[in-house]
Amino acid sequence: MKKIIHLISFFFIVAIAVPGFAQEVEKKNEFSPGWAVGVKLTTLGPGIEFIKSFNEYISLRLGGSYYKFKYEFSLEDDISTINKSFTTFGSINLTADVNFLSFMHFTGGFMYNLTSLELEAIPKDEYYIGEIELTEETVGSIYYGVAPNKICPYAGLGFGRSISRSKVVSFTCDLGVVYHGSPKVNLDANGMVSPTASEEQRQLLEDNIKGYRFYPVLNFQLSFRFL
Amino acid sequence: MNAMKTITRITVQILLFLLIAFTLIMSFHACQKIENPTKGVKLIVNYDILKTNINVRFFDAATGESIGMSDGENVDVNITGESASAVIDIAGESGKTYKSGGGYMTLYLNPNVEFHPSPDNPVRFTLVAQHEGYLQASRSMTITEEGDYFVDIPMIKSELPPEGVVIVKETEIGVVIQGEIKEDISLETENSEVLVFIPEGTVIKDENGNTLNGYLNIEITHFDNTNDHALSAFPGGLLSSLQKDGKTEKGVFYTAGFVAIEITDKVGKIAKTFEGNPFSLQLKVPEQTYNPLTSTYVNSGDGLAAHSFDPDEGLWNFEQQLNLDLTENGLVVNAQLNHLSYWNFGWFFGNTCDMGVDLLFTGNQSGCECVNVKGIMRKSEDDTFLRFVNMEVCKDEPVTIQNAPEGLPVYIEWENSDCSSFYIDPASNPLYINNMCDNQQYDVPLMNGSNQTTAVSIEITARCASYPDVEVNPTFGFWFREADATCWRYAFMYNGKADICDVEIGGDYVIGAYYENNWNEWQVTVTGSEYALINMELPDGVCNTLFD
Repeated sequence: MKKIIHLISFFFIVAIAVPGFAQEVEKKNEFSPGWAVGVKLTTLGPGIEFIKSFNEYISLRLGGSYYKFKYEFSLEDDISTINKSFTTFGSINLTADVNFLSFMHFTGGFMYNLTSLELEAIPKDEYYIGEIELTEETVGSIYYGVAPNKICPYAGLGFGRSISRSKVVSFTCDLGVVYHGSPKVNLDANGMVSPTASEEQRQLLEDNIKGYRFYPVLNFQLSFRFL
Repeated sequence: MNAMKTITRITVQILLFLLIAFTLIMSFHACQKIENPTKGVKLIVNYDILKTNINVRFFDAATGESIGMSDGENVDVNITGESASAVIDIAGESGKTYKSGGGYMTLYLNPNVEFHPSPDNPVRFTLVAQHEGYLQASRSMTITEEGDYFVDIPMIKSELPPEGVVIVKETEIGVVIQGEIKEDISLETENSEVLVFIPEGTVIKDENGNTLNGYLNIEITHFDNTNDHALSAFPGGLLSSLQKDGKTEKGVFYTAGFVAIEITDKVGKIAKTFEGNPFSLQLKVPEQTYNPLTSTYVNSGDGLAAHSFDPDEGLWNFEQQLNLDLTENGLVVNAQLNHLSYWNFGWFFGNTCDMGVDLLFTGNQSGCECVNVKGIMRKSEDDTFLRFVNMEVCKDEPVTIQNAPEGLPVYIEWENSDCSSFYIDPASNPLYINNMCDNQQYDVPLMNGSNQTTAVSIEITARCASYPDVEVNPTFGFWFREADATCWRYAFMYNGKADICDVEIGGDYVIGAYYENNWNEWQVTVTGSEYALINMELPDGVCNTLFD
């Protein structure tokens, strides 16, 4: 909490004291509207972006990012399981930058959220009750999926520029947040464990994570102006 | 003008600051760790892997009471036969001695694929039951499809045999030295149904080849072939298999009478074989005994066979061909035998089919999905007992008679008991069937004699204390009766849900269940139509079975 207060104080000072200096810097570099394409690395995965600047204060960004990875791990217990995790990060974003300083901008807009988390637990081996063999198919598997809302508002603060005022290369670092609402849970199961996927349990899982409505976005982007 | 510009600039800066602050705060807030997303969530398991239940009841043939219901005694049961390894208890264990509880026992078929019952892969085995003071009893079964099966096994108490069974006992008779009998021994039942003669010089040994010594205790039991109680105790059941000339045949026993002989010495060694001389056995055959070869009652000169029973295999063996003689004692058969077992004298006739006719129970079952029906199947030729009929019949689902006699006209006398308000329409009782293997379906109208009863739904979830995050939806059979009645009715819980029908609101009932070799009872009063028992704690033994 202290760190947040210190950071806010720093930006307050910057917001109040620096504009005059920024204006002087801006006069030195002339602005021309243009187009740029950027490559980015974000907490929603790597991606590309197209940027259009309209004036030295406003530019529009259209882009996307995507990353999916699979992770498998074993749990050794009375029923040993293989757990497969499929995590997807991604979005298609349409945002607008408001450059209130030459080296800082505020970004706002919307994202089509492709992020999801899927987990499947499968028995690792046969399981025996006496001489009764319970195969993996008999025991069954459990599938757990979490997905946020698809259309999500985004707000962020950036350092640098997403499109250079008049040069070719620009760099920006953005810190923002996506509001994705309470995530929706999908629960499914088969075999002996099929009743685990009851509506009551699904609702309980959803209630457990309903407070997690925001997702942090950290974006590093290098843009190349082509017009 | 300048003042306005300044105010505007400051306002914008403040708004900007607030926006920045909000964005930063929410960004950091979004970085919070997700705490325990699965809190309160349980692993819920359907324990419905056992698809074939064999519900057995052992009862005293004379009194009808379940053995052990009042005194907590257990009947010991072993499984023999070609598919013995397919039979398990709820712990999934085969090949051991199982124990009944309250006269009841439930065994199962192993659901592993190699034991899956089908017409192409029938599961055949014999239940062999033993209990102190009772004669050994057995029942052979053939199962060709998954489901619930009910077996009633009467047991003969030596001290109190039922009508139709005669027992004679002599203790401390004869002189036996190193197995050799030093004087003739003769014993017969009260009305000369059976006469046993062991000549001097005969050497008697047990099944391990050890000689008997000292004196002998002899018990002879005769089973009257015209009496239901006696016929219901026929080892393995009258629909059976016979080993003859190296081949196994399936068919029906027509018995002229059967005998059990037990001989022990002073230290309890049980006689099995006779060497040097065979022992003689004479069996009196009632005149009203039906001969399937001549299709009439027996006469002097009729041929019949002697069969012995092997409880380890659950099979009868052909021993020798004999003839009926007419003596001053009536019609008799005389045999020279060299080992002890159950001995049957009669005919093994016809054939059986693994899957017989279908019975479809129709009519208004008043909310009952399934009801239990019982009866006795008799041969039409001589009205003698063939087998008990005991089945759970469900609405619109035909029940196939398993292991049925082929080409043998029979009829089923349905039992209308005080246990249930359901009864078979008298117009269809008895039900006549000319050929139990003709692939036909017979409709049996079921009537409901009471409109005061209703159905009750029960829901149970169970758990083990040592695994609080796991819930089990149990699947098992249980029994219930009215508090002041003695007869039990069967019900089945599937994945934690059961419907019990034909009960009265406000009535007092007893629920009984068999597990862990014990019979357990609970008293309940029916006050509503729905009951839920959540987080019922399972016994440690069951939990150890599931999770260890």
